[in-house]
Amino acid sequence: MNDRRRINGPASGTQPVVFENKSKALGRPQRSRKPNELRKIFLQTGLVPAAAGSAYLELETPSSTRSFIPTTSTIKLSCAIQGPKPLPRNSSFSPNLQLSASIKFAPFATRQRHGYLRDNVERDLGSHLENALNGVIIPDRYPKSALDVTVMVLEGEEDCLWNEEHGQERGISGVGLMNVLAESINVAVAALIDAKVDCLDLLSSGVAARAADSETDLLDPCPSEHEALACACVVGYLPARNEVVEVWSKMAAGKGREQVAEDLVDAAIKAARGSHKILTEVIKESLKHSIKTKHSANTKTTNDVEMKT
Amino acid sequence: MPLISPPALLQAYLSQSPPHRPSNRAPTETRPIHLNVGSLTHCNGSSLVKIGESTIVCGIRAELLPVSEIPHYRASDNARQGRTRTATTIEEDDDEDSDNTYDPNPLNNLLVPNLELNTNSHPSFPANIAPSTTAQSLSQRLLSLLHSSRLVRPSDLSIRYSSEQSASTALDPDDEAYIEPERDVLKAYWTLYIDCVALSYGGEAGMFDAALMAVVAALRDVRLPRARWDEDRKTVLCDANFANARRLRLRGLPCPLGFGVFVPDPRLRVGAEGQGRVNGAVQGKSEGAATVLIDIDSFEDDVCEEKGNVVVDCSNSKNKILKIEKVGGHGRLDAKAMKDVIRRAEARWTEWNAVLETALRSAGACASSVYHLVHRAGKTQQHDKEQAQKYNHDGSNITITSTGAQ
Repeated sequence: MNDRRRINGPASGTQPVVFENKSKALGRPQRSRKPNELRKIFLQTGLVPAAAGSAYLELETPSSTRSFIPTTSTIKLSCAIQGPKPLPRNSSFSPNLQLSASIKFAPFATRQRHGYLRDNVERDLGSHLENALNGVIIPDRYPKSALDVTVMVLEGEEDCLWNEEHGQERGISGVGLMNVLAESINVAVAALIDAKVDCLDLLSSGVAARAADSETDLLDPCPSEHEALACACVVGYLPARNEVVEVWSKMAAGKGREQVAEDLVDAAIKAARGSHKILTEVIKESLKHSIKTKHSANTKTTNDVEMKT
Repeated sequence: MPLISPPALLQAYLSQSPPHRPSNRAPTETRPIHLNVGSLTHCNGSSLVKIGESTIVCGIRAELLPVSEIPHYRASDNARQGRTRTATTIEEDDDEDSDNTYDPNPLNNLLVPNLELNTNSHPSFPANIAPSTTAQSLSQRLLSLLHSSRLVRPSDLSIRYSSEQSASTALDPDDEAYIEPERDVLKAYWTLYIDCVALSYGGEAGMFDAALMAVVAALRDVRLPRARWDEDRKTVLCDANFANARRLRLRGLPCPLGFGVFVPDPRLRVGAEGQGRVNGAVQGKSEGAATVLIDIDSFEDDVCEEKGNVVVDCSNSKNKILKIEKVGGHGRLDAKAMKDVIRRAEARWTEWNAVLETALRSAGACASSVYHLVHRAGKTQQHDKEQAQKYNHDGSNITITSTGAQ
C-alpha cells in the first residue's frame, strides 16, 4: 500500500540497477590494520542546537575512488537526545526515567534502499541499544520523566561486497549490523553526556570477530575485508565497574565453543576500552569548549539589550 | 529555552541602532552556506547543506523504470519523438528548444523528493509517527519547484535503444522472418529518489532554503552509469565503469531566499513612541514599523506571521524569478520591499553559485567524507581546528595491547 503522506515513485515500482561488468579487477580490500587496532573514529558533540544533547560519529573513510560498486563503506551516525522531559499527562505515574531508544536507517544508508517505515532490523537494533543504555543511566534520578534517544544512520556497513551473492555459504552474516550497534552505543553515550544525563559510568562498546580458519581475534572487524567470519560478538562495557551490560554474539554451536565465546567477549571488551579512550577525549574537548564559549559570552556585553515595556 | 514574550525581545533588538537581530546579524544579512557534495557511498549523488542551525543531508539514488512497467504507456508518441530527436540534437538542444519538448507527464513520477523531519532534528517532531504537515508541505514544495523550474531534462533520464541491422537480419521486408529494425526507441527511464534527511531543524523557511540547495547540489553531483538495453534479456544493463558515467545537464541553478516580515505588537509601539502608529510604512525609519528580515532562523520564524520565499535563477546572465511565495500577515509587504527582497535573492544567487562551484571542484579532488563538512560546519572555527587535530592524533594507531584486559 502506498504511503499517501509521502511522495511516491512510479506506481509500478522501480528496479535496482544491474551492472554487466562487475569488474573482476575490483579486489577485496585487505585489512592493513593490526588485529588489535581499531579504525579511526571522528566524534563531535553538540551539532543539533535544538536537542538537549547530540553527537555525530564517523569512522575513517578508506581512501578509495568513487565507483558504482563500492568495495567498502564506513559508518556515519547522528544521534540526538530529547529530554529528560515530563511524561505526557495521560500516562500513569512512574518513579523512574522512561527511556526509549530507536535506530533509523536513512533511505540512502545502504545498498538496498530503505523505506521510511521502521522495519524489523531497525526495531531489533533499537531494543539492543535501549538495553545497553538502560544499564548505564541512573533512572531514579528522573522520576516522572521520559528520555528519547534517536540514532540516524546516514551510512551503514555491509556484510559482503557488492559483486558477491548475499547469504554466503560460509561464515556468519550481520557483522555490519553489529558494528552499527556498537557505534550507535558509543555515539548515544556521547550525546547523553552532552545532554548532562546522570550515568553510572562511561559506557563504551566494541566488536570482535574471528575469521574462519583462524585463531586470531580481530578487533573492530570490517566485514567486507574478510571472505568469511566464523564468529562475532559486540559488548557494551562499563570500564570503571568492569561490568558488561550488553552482549550480542553470533557463532556456530559445537563442541569446545565455550572457550571461543569467552575469548571473543574478552576481545570485544578490549575493543570497547579503545572506544572508551576516544569518548573520554571527546567529552573533555567539548567541556573545554563549552566553558570557553560561556566565558566569552559573559564578557561580551553587546548581546544585552534593554527592553522597553 | 522558552521565552515569555518573543516578539518583545525581537522588537527590542530591532530598535537598537544600528538595528540587529538576536543572532547579531543586520536585518538584511544572510547566513553563510556550508556545502559538501559526494560524501555518501551508496548514492549516485549526495550533498550536505548547513545554513545556520538547519542541516540537511540529501542523497539521490537512481533506479530503473522499464516502459513495459508503465500502465497505459503509448509507445507511438515516444517513437515519433525519438525519430525527431536524434543524437546530435540531444547534445545541442538549448533551453529554447527543449522548452517545447518538455513534457511534464513522464517526469511526474521520475523525480521523487521526500524530506524527512524526525525527532532527531527537533523535539517538536514526535518519534516514529507519520510525517508532519510541515514535512509534507516542504516535500510538495520541493517537487513542484523541480517541475516548474524544469531543472532536469527528460532526455537525460531516458534510456533509448536502436537495433543494429546486421547482415543476417537485413532481409527482404516481405520475408516472414523480417523484424522491423527499431530506431531510437525509448526502453526505460531513470527514476531519481531524492531523499532529504534533516539532521537539525531550523524553522520552516530555513529548512526550505537548505533543502532546495541540498537537492540542487546533489543533482549537480549525480552520476548516472552508462546504460544500454539488452534486447536478448529484455532488460537494462549498466556499465560499472565510473569513468563512463555521465552527469545530468540541469537547466539553470535555482537559489532560494526566505524572508519574514516582523510587525511589532501595537501595545509595544505605544510604549515606545507614546502614541499608537498602526500604519507605519514598510521599512520606514520610524520605530515600530514593519521590518523585513532576510533569511530568518527558527526564532524569527516563530515570531513573524508574514513569511515568504523567493526563488531566482541568474544563470546565463538572465535574471529569472522562478517562484514568489508569501503567506500570512495582513499584507504589510509592498511592491517596493518585494523588489528589494528579489535584489537580495540575486545577490544570494551569486554567493550560492560560488559556494557550489568550489564544493563540486573539491569533491572531485579528494576522497570525500561527511566529516569534512561537519568539521567545517561546527560551532566555531577554533573548535573545529582542535577537532581536526584530534581526529589525526587520537584516532590513529589505537592499539589496545598497552591497556590489555588480561
